[in-house]
Amino acid sequence: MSVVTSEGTVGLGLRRVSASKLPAQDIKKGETLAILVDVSSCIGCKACEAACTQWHDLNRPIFTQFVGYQSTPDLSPNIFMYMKFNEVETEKGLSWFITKHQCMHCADPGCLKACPSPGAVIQYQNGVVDFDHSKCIGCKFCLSGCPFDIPRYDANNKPWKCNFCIDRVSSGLSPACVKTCPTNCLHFGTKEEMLFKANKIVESLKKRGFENATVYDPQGVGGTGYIYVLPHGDKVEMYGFPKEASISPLVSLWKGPVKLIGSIVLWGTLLGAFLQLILFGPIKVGKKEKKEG
Amino acid sequence: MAPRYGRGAMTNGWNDIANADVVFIMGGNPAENHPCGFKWALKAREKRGAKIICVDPRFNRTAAVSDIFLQIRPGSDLAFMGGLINYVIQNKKYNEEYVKHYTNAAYIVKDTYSFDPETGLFSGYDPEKRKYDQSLWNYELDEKGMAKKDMTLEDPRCVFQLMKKHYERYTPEVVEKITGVPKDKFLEVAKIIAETGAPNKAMTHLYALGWTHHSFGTQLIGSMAILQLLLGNIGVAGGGVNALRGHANVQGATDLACESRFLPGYLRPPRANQQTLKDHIEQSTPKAIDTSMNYWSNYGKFYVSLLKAWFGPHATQENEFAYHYLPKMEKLISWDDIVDRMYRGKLDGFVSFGVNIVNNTANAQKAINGLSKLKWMVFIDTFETEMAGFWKSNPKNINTEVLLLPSAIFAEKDSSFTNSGRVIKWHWKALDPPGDAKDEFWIVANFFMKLRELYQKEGGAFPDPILKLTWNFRNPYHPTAEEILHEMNGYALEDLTDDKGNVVAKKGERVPGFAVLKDDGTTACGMWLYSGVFPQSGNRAKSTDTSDPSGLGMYHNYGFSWPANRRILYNRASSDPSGKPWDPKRKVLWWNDIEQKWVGNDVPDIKPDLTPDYGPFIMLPEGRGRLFAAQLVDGPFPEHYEPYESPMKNILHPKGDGRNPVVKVFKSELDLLATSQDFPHVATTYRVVEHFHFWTKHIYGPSALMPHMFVEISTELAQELKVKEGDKVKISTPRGSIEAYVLPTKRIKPLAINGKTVHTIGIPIHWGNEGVVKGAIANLITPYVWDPNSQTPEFKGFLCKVEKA
Amino acid sequence: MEDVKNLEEIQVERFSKVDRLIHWFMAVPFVYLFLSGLGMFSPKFAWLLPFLGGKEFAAWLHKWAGIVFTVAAFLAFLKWVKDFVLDKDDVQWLKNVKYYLKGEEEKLPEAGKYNAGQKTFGWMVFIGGLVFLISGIIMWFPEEFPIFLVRLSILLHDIAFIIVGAGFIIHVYMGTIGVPGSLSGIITGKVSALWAMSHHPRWFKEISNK
Repeated sequence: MSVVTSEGTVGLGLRRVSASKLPAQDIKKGETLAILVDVSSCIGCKACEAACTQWHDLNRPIFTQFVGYQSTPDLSPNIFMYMKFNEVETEKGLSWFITKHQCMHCADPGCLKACPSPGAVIQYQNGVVDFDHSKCIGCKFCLSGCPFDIPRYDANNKPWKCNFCIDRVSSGLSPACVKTCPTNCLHFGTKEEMLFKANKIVESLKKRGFENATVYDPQGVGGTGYIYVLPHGDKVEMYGFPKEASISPLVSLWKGPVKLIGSIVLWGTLLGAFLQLILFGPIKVGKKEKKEG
Repeated sequence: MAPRYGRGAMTNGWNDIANADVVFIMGGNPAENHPCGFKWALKAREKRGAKIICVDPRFNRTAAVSDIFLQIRPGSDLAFMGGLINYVIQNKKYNEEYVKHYTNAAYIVKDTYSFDPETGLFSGYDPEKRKYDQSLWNYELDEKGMAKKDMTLEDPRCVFQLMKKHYERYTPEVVEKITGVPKDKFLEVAKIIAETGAPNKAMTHLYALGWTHHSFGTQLIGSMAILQLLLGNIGVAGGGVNALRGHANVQGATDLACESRFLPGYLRPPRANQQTLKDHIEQSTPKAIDTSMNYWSNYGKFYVSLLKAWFGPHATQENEFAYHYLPKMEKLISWDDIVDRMYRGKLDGFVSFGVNIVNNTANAQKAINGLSKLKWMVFIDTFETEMAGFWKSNPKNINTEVLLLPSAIFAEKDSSFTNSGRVIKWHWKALDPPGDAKDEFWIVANFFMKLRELYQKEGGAFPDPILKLTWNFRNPYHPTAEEILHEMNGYALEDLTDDKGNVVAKKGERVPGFAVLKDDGTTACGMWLYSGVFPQSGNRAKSTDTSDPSGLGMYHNYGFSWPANRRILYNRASSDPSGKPWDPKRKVLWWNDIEQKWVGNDVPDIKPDLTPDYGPFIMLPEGRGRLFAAQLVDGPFPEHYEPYESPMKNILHPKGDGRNPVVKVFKSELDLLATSQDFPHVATTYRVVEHFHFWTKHIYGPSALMPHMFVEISTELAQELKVKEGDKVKISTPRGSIEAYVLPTKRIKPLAINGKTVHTIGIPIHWGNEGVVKGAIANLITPYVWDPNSQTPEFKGFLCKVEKA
Repeated sequence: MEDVKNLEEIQVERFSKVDRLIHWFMAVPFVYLFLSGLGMFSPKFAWLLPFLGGKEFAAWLHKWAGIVFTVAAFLAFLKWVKDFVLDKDDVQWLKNVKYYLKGEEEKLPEAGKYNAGQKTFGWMVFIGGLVFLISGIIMWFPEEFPIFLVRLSILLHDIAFIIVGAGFIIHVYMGTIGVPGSLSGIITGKVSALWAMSHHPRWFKEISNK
């Protein structure tokens, strides 16, 4: 899916690469980019879904199953994003929570952390997280690493997800979904600008009586490249998001201490065997028997 | 709207919605059906903190982003509107100066007008013909032919007092009983709306087919026209009654006479009793009855220019400008009659141009049977629709010869759209049509050339109109859109001069606008209303300049808005009677005392040097907006009638039928109506944003986004019927039944209507038996009942029964 | 008693054909699993993957090799479970394993056919195999299981890998250069009587008596 490989063919700098040391950070500049989804002015028209399908030229299926207003029961290798619809009774009466779901482009991406294959998951200097299929081994660990249940695998076990239209973005265009949004509920810019805008919208929502309005930018993953204005910030889960998003401690455990212990144990064993060999020599036959004999 | 304001189109443009303080959405679902335009409503909230109010039978996508949502019973909207009018009058929230000077509130109505609340009938009803004698509802005129007025508004026969009395009955309690909207909720909304009666507040109203699809749709829109006049919200920035049109070019189609009662530019076709051009023009030209610019006094100029455009040198003074080449109509034949006649076997052939009557006509079986009785049908469309394949249901017994002509889609030809906001905008061809598909210019021109050839060769009963038609195209077999726009804009046949003798257009040049058109045969203009779009300097539909010096979103150099590039209609009403803007922050037009003329941020919708005592509604002989409109066939004041199929008696009319008394009744064996005993549920049909009518189901992308036909019912009804999401249900009416997936939802709640629980059934309509995805044709179950003014079917609020399939 | 020389020349059967088949049926996939697993477990060993058929192939074959290994390990379990029961002597042996490493086997309780170290490794393989199997299947189809279980499985797979991997290193070392004369046992099936007498005296006595 990556249009740009970690070799940086169009000159995009890399911030992070899976299973590798951090690339040098200050060689290329790159302001962190973000998309702001203003849920309070989203009408759920799915134009973004259509644009996504079209720009990425996805061979999208037509589902035989009826799933109401949602166009798909779930993400799939050929559906990078979809709108979730949820009817929720709130203190302000009935609400229809309509939220766009796709890769969140975490600042600290769980997929990248979990990936064992050098370079298969990359984070560009602008914060966009992308997969490089040529380096992927198809182990599906990225799914375990992801706090948002995003990557979906094709028949070759390669993961697919939103890549923030990195091809468009790196050419100075806005992502396809943002470009097409008819109500301007999708905004695109630097993370800083988007946060500023989001906070302004939250302020006005509070004035309109949405006391719990909030910006969803989960700090558990260092913030995300997709941030949301949620009018009912007390009902984050109803929008389909984890309240506290962070990389699972289990993942951190196997990527951290277990790896270290493993190295020590395995290298230690090898060393032990070697020491045994040179200190005591092989365990030979017949000392006793020889004496006896 | 035309009978009350003078023009039927959206009063303000899309962009102007952003200037509103209240965006009132009722009878439309813009988020769903006009998602791009809806951003202006959101902008109004962002910019001005506007409140968005949505009143609809279901909590829809618009409701999802609205500040207030009220669920209403389908077909009860007029009671709600009556309640609002009553609230505004009783609480004196109307803009008194505006009402006095810009409406006909002060006019005295003849004492032959009366209304009987017991039966719900106005005076002059003839039950045999099901018609009113509308002449009984006229104004009293003085000896000079001017309307008598009482500027104190206290005369009991003045429009204001009649109106006040008429709407007294619409108390919040009555509104609750009829609509199901709780009294306190109604009052909450009424209060917000009434506040916009203040001179510096504006409310915009957005509606679409949710209001037109009723047996009283015209009156419903009229009720809003009245409310907005009372509140002084017409002509001002951020105000208006805004009809949101569903197609990119439906306004254009309307302007260009897609209805049989019009010629281009809302001119009238000759009637049988108008045997001379003079008769026709005299009967069609109103006389001013007040200080009115009475713009239709120019009717003759537009008419003669139209005839000159059509017949050129063959239209002369001597032959009454070829008036006799036009057929004289005995009777208006509208859509309902056409299908009915077809059904009764009275049509031999049918040419269908981009229409799909199998899907879009009420009681579709009638249309299907009608098509089966044709000898031949020429079907011109982009897709092979249900209408193209109607014979597939019974190929052995249907003998209709069907000829399919594939046509180009909008992106496959250069042409223009006229959007809801009356803005004519050019679009360019992006690619060639596939296969044998041809654009409509080619198709029509080839039809015409072949016809002319046949007439030339074989003669005929009356060949002149065909042989002498002006057909000045470089390639007569394939005219370009711009050549046609040239003809529509109009051109000078002689050098034209203004009053001072300056030449405004040389012979052969295109005219700068309709103001220079003449009735002496020196100008030709195919569409007076669009005149000015393509002046000699170039095609203004192509202009894309988005500069907006006033900051009011006028964008005068983006496209061209008819008439004369005015962006807000009746904009003289944005100033008070002395000519000062009501709201100094949203100045549209004001009277410049020194220059003695109207100036401002928009093109004045009045003759610039006409003094402020002239009324702002220039198309009406009153010059004033009509609170009371005798021109409507079903009454001068909108009255709540129940839908033709209703779950309840009309509680306002204890002794009457309770339904619109002038609705045309069709009596074939297929014209069946439901009763609430057998069909207890109230259904309404609508669209969803993923699809465009019956078109996009032929396209993979939108089909994938919303593949399945479904109906929405309340979770309560779902429990009662023991169905859950994804089950199939059967929806039946006496006309037929359809099956669909069911979506139980909290967004439609059971309503308490006059002490009875009424369930609303929501039926999206986009599917059929052709296309990428298939589903039931919703219109197989809708009733063949039509609005008597506009001939629009009653798709909203009919009875049905839902059961588990 | 025969002469030492003679003892060295006398070959005794240590592993039957079936034994050897099962061992290698298990060992071959295990080696592949170990190496490919190492390549995936640690990026530092990613260079191994191209030698195993390329990274995608290795990831794919890892799963199927795992299935083959599981079958073999199950057969091994049936075959050897009785032999691998640890007794009191074995516990004693394990406590004093340092003498074994120093080559002072005489200070340890006499080993039977399998000494306590070998038995322990056997159990590592059986238990580890089960953990590998269950966690491996979950990792193979992560979309089908709760994500928590998938994450836990990866952790357990890693831990099992570390433990069994360490055992494997010792096993290979001991089976080759660590204890000369062992390797032939699992290849030809035969070891010298002297080897048997030295390292597995109790077993030697048993077969001598026969």
